[in-house]
Formats: sequence, structure tokens, C-alpha cells
Amino acid sequence: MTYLVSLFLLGLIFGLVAVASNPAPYFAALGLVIAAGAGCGVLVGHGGSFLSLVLFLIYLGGMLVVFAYSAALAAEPFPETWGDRSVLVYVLFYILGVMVVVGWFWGGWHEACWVAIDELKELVVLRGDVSGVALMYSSGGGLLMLCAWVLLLTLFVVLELTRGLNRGTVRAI
Amino acid sequence: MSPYVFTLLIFNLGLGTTMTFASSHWLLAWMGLEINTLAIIPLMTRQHHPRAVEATTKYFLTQATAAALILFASTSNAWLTGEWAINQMSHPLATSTIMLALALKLGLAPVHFWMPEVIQGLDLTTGLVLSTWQKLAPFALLLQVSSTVNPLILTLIGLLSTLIGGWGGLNQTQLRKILAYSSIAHLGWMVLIIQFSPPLATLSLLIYIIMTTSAFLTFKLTSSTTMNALATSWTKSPMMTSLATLILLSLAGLPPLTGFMPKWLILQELVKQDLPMLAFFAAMTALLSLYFYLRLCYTVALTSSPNTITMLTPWRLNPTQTSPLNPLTTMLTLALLPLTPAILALVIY
Amino acid sequence: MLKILIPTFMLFPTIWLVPGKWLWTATTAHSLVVASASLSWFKWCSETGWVAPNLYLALDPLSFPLAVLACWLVPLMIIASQNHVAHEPLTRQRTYISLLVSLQVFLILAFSAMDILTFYVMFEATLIPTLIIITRWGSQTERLSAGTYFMFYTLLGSLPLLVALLYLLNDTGTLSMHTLQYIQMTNPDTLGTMLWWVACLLAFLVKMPLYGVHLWLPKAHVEAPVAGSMVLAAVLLKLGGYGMMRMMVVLGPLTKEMAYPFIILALWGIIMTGSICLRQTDLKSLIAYSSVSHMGLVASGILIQTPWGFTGAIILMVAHGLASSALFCLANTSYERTHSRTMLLTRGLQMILPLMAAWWFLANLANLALPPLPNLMGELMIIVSVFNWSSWTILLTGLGTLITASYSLHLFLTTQRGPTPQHFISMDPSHTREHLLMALHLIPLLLLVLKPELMWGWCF
Repeated sequence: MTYLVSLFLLGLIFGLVAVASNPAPYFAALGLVIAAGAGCGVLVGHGGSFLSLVLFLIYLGGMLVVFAYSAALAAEPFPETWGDRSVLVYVLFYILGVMVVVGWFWGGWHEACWVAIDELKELVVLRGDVSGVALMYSSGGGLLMLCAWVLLLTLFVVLELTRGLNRGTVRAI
Repeated sequence: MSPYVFTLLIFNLGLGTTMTFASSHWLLAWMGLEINTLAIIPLMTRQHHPRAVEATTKYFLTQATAAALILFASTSNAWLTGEWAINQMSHPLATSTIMLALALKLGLAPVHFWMPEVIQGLDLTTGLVLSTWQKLAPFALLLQVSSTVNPLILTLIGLLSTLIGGWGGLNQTQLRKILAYSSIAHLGWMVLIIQFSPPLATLSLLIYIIMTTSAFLTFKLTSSTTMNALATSWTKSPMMTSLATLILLSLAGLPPLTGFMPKWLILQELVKQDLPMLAFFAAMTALLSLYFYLRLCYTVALTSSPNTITMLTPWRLNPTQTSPLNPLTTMLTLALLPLTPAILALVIY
Repeated sequence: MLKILIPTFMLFPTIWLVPGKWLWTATTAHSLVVASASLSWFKWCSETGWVAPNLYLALDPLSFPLAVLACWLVPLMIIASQNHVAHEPLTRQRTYISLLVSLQVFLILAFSAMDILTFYVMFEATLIPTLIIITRWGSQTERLSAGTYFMFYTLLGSLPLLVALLYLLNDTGTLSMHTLQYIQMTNPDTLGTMLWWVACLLAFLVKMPLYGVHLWLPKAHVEAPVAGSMVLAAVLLKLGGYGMMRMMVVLGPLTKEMAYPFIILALWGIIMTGSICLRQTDLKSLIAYSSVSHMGLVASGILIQTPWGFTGAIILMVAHGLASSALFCLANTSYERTHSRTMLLTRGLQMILPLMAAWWFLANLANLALPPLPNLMGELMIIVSVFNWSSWTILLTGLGTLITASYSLHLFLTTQRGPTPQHFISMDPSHTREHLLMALHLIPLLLLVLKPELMWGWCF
């Protein structure tokens, strides 16, 4: 399990580096998906399986849309990959930065903060976070309403910003 | 923009801020901030001008960063101490991060760079909303956490803001940028005092909002966004442009105008806390701001720029951009100082 | 107090409601009535010194000569500006007079304030009308930098003063002039207290102005319209002297050592600015530097803190207020005819305006402190008390007096005597208005010779 979580952590870091190093949108979205998936894996490894499930679904749904959208917008004949020089410099820089930080914090700081949510570990479905969600559904009705309203508002805002070619905000000038 | 959508967005703008006001739980406060940001975004791009879109993008990015930082800090505070209440923060990591995030939201000195750029891209009304209403929610949070934040950080941010606010405006010719820098400087004064007397900081914010409202509305009345436009604007409304001189001097904080009141009370409070040198430095940075206000005064009414004949006629036409708020705020901007004891009695004691 | 303040406030409706044809006549008459009513302050003296109709506003023998001077100056400023403002649009004329009147309101409130903080607010409040008068109605582009100099010099001094006053308030719990004279600061020798001492006086020394921080004054005088120069020389500089006298009471034992550099600077300034006057080419600038030189004498008289020094200072302030204001009016009358302030170009005016030459003569004699005039009385008292403080100062003050006499005569001889240049083609004769203006300046000066105890302060 430790190896698995370490693998996820590495995946998270490399995914973030992959996004942050400014490749073409295709590859950036790919990196984002990797980072999201690996992050959810880390959460599962430490007892947040429900949370990670929700996150994974939302991220995957959102990321696929973004991926499709960015691919449609920026269809370049020769997209920049991580091997290209300009991107490679960023990749190396960020990796170096991560190594420096790792060197700085090497000494077991994670052991204090790295506590699982409850006693049950690993791949068990009924977890502590599930009971929190249940509590929110049973007594946090107002908050849920509000959350739904915010989602609706976000939809409005996005529609308002992107509607039509002539009347919307995002358009070619 | 359809009036329904506009109404909906304005309503949500209010909803976000009031939610932040009303909440004692970090999650709700964060949610209010996010609603607020989301609601103002389409309002900012109402003009569909490329500069407005650019400004909106910058605004969205900074506000999202700040909100994410707030969420991160409050979660880590909850994780480390088990406390979600806003005024019960105790972990220094969390409070410092929160302070930084709120400074970013408010546009305070080390993280102020987005503020002039964003306001420069917007029209004057949205700029007004940005520099008044949008300050309220983060400021309410700042009031609640200020007692737990490290005083050194608060003082440094405050002093740096007054300094940068004065310094940055010196070389500007764009009115909106100047007003943004003036906002940075004024908020710096509030942050300086917020740890000693939160009601006084609130009073300063109130006075600042009144003053900056009249400045924005006066500029809107003459539709001027640069100093050049301001120089020829006296033909549109001679009365308002001569009052604009006094409004600007009030923003600069000269007695006997309203703007002197918060400066005076803040200096008094600082001296009372045995910090006369801090008070001295803060007062000196106000001189920097005074310089660009003075320059604006020179262009707006104290010199008459050369004009063509056609430029001289607009005063015959009725101005179209009048606002009923403008006379009220202008009066308050100019003549509130004699009421200081009454206001003090209302706000502080 | 209100019997003067309310008529002063009622000047605003007069200004804005009177028909344009009667604007100048009505405002002059009204303000002259206010000024005459203010003379009743002379009869107010009580045994205790203070005449306090309420807790906030009161006058004492130190402040009422200056308050009366402020009231007296307003009709004179209105008369003096009539010629160059009357051709502007009517609204601007009204605005201009309103600014002059608002200055009067602030000055009366400043001189009669019981609380030092109220005094401070009013002291600062005079900045805005003066700034607008200088930069809006001045004639050249340099007026903007003059306005900036004026604002920044003054505020650079007075913001520390605000902090120092708040510190004093925090330390002693009061800023009322009634109680402040019985108060001693607690720890007199620390660095902080010394800084506090400097902060308390710096604003007033800048306003006076002391030699070294005087650069704003000649600029402001040169660029300001005549009313601005008049009020600046006659009353606004005196705010500095007045404030110093008020603060001196509080500053206490620290002053004895701390005042040395400032006294030396003030005395040295008399010589330096006098020498600058001797080779000055600009008429208004010369008068402005002569103001700096006289104010240096006032500053040293105040800083050595003897009753004679104080009395001499206040006498010199009032007398210099009238004399320098008269000189600025005269400079303006010749400027309005020749359109030049350069002394090389405005020579030999005696041949053209003989009666004006008489006024020039009188005003110059007042400036150089001719024996019966109160200027001499003030200068003598200050010189004597400074001499008593240290006998070496007689070198500086004596030389200063000599230089003052020389440049005053130089001013008179250059502008009035000698051949008339060829370029004076058509010149207005001197108007009755201008003679009235000069008479209203110089008659009070002469009358004060008869009853100098009106401006003797506490020492009679």
C-alpha cells in the first residue's frame, strides 16, 4: 500500500509539473487528468474514499469537457510537448524546485500531519466521510440549497460570458 | 445585457456579501466570497471591450487564488485545531495565510498589483462597485480575524500599502489607476488601525466609501478617464468640476474636509497605543498621495486648458449621466468633519 | 465671537445673491462693516487675560490684534483685487470673493480657538483657499509649482505637529489653552521628547518662515494674485508666530538648549535674506524676502522667551502685516500699469504717479522701521531682548537693520526716482480706489503709534 500511495504522490507531482510547464492544451489537460486521478488515489489511500470518488467523478467529468473544448479551440498542427525545448526548461525547473523542497523538508514532517481520517484504512467503502455527508444531507438543508443555487449561478455566469458569437464576451476581435 | 440577468447578478452580488457578513463559519464565508466574485464577473464584462475582458480575467484569477487560499487556510486551521469559527482562529500558519489571502482580496500592498490593472479596464460604475462594495466582504472577515493575526504583519502591510498607494499614483495619468492607488493607500490606513480599534477601521472604510463614491460619480458625470479629459471637462459641469477639487483634497485628507477625520482619529489611536513614530511615518506617506491628488486638482479646476470653440459649448446641454447619489455623497465628502464627535459617539462608543 | 462670525458667514449670501453690478461695492461695504465691528475686540480686555464667551472660542491680548488684522485685511483684499478680477465671468468673481471670505472665517477661528487641535485644523484649513487663490488666479505657469511648494512645505512641517499634538494630548489629557500652561511634560531629556519639541515648532517655523525652510514663500508671493500676496504676508505668516507663542508655553524647560540652532538660523536669516533683497530684480520677490527677514526677527524674539521678546514679536507681526501688505498693493498698482515686476523696467514712476510715490515712500519707511512707527517699536524690543540674551547678537541684528534700511531705500529709489523709461506709453492715472486702499493700510499703522498698548499683548 505504501508503494501504491508513493506512486500516487509521484503521479500527483508529475501531473502538476506536466500542467504547469505550459505545453499545448491537449497535453496540459492530460496532465491535469493524471494529477486529479493521482490526487484522488492519495485520498483513497488515507481514508477518504467517498470524497475521492466524488472528486474523481467531478474532475473527470469537468476535465473531459475542458479537454474536448481546449482541443477544439486550439487544434494546432504541431502541438508543443514536454520534449520541446521551451517546455522542457519549465519541466526541469519545476522538478528541480520539487527536489529542493523535498530536500528542505526531508525529515519526517509528513508523519505528524499524515493522519488517516479514521481507524479503518484502505479500500473499505463505509468510511468516516460518508457519515459526514449523511449528516449534511439530514440537517444541512439550507446549505445544500445554497450550494445548488451557487451551481445555478455559475451556470448563468458561464452562459452569460460565452453566449453567442456577437453578443457574448469571448469572441474574436 | 438583459435586465433580468442584470437584476439576478446584482441580487447575487448582494447575497454573497451579506452571506459573508452573516456567517461565523469559514465555509459559508468562503462561499459568500465566491458567490460575490462569480456575480461580478459578467457585470465587469458588460462592455465587451477587450480591455474589460482582460481585466475580468485578471480579477477572476486573483480572486480565485485568494479564495482558494482562504479555503486552504481555514481547512488547515480546522485540521490543526478543530475550530471552524471565523473569530476563533488560533494557529499562526492559518492566520498568516488568511491575512495574505484577504490582503490579496482587498488589494493591499505586497499583493496589490492586480488592482490598478483591473480598475483601469473597467468602466467607472463597475470600478466604483469594485472599489467600494467588493471591499466590504473581505473587510468584514479581516475585522474578525484581526485580533489573532500577528501585529507585525498587520503593521507592515498597512504601512507598505500607504506607501505604495502614494508612490504608485505619482506617475499616473489615468484617473482609474490613480483611484485604485488611492484605494490601496486608504485601505492601508485601515489595516494599520484594525488591530487597535476595529470600529475606527470600519468608520474609515465608511468615510472612504463615501469619498471615493463622489469622486467616481463626478468623473462619470464628466465622462473623463484620463487627466487630459479631466482638463477639458469643466465645460460640461463647471460647478461639479470646481467641487471635484475639494473632493480630491478631501480624499487627500486635508482639513477642514471630511477626509481629515479618519486620518486624525487613526493617528490619535496610534499615538494612544504608544506608537508615535508609526503615526509619523503613516502621516508622511499621506504626503505622497497628496501629490497626485494635487496634480489632479490642478488639471480639473485650477488651470483652464486651451479649448476649441466646440469644446466650450457642452455646458449648454444637460448632463446625461447624473446620479442622485452624487450631490449627497459630495456634501458628505466635504462637510462631515464638524460632526466628528457625533459620529464617534455613534460608531465607537 | 458670534457677533463677528455670523456677519462674516452672512457675507456668503451677500456675495452670491447681490446683483452683479453691485457685487464689489456690496461686498466691500459689508466686509468693512464686519471689520469695524471687530474693532470692538479691543475693548474686551479683562483682568484675567482671556475673554472667553464659551469653552471653544476665546480671545486674549495676544490673539485679538491678529484677529482684528485678519478682519481688517478682507475689505482691503477685495478692494485690491477689484481691477484684475472684475473682467472675469461673474461666477468666478463671486467664487474669488468667497475664497477670500472663507479665509477670513478660518483665520478668525484659528486665532480664537481655545483648543490647540482646533487651532491646528483651522491653521491647515487656510491652506485650501490660499492654494486655490494662488493656482487659479495667479498669472504664470510657475504658479503650479509655487502651489505645490506651498502645500508641501507647510504640510511637511504640520503633519509631525499633528502627531506631536496628539502625543501631548495623550500625555497630559488636555489641549486647552486654559490648562495647558500649568502642565509640565514628564521626561524632559530623552531623544523622543527632543523630537517632540522639534515637531511642535517645525510647522510654525516653516510657516513663519524660518531661513532655510523659506523657499516656498517667495515663490508663492511672486505667483499669487495681489490678494493672495496680501493675505499671505499680512496674516498667514503670523499664524506661524502666533502658534509658536502658544506652543512655547508648553515646551517648557527644554527650549533653553533646543532653541539655539533655530535662533541662530533666524538671526543669520535676517542677514542672508536682507542681502538677497539688496540684489533682487523682481519687485514682489524683494518684498517677499523682506518678509522672511522680518519674520526671522520675530522668530528669534519668540524663541528666547522673554516678555519683551514676545511683546516685540507681536508688535512687529502686526506692524509688518500692515506694511508688507501695503507694499504688495503698491507693487500690484505698478504691475497693473506696466505689466512687469522687473525693477529695471518699472523705474521713475514718481514723474507719472506722484501721489503713489508718496504712498511708496510711507510704506517703505514703515518697512525700514522709521522711529515713531510701531515697526521700530517691535524691532527695538526684539533686538534689546536678544541682546540681553547674548550681546554678540547685536552684530547680526544691527547689520540686519542696516541692510533692511538699505534695501528699502533701494526699492524706493529704483522704482520711483530717476528718469522715466521711454516704454511707458499710456498709463492710467492712479485711481481713488488705490489711494483708499493705501490709506486703509497706512492710517491704522500711524494710529497705532498713538496707542501701541492695543497690540502689546500681556505686557501693559
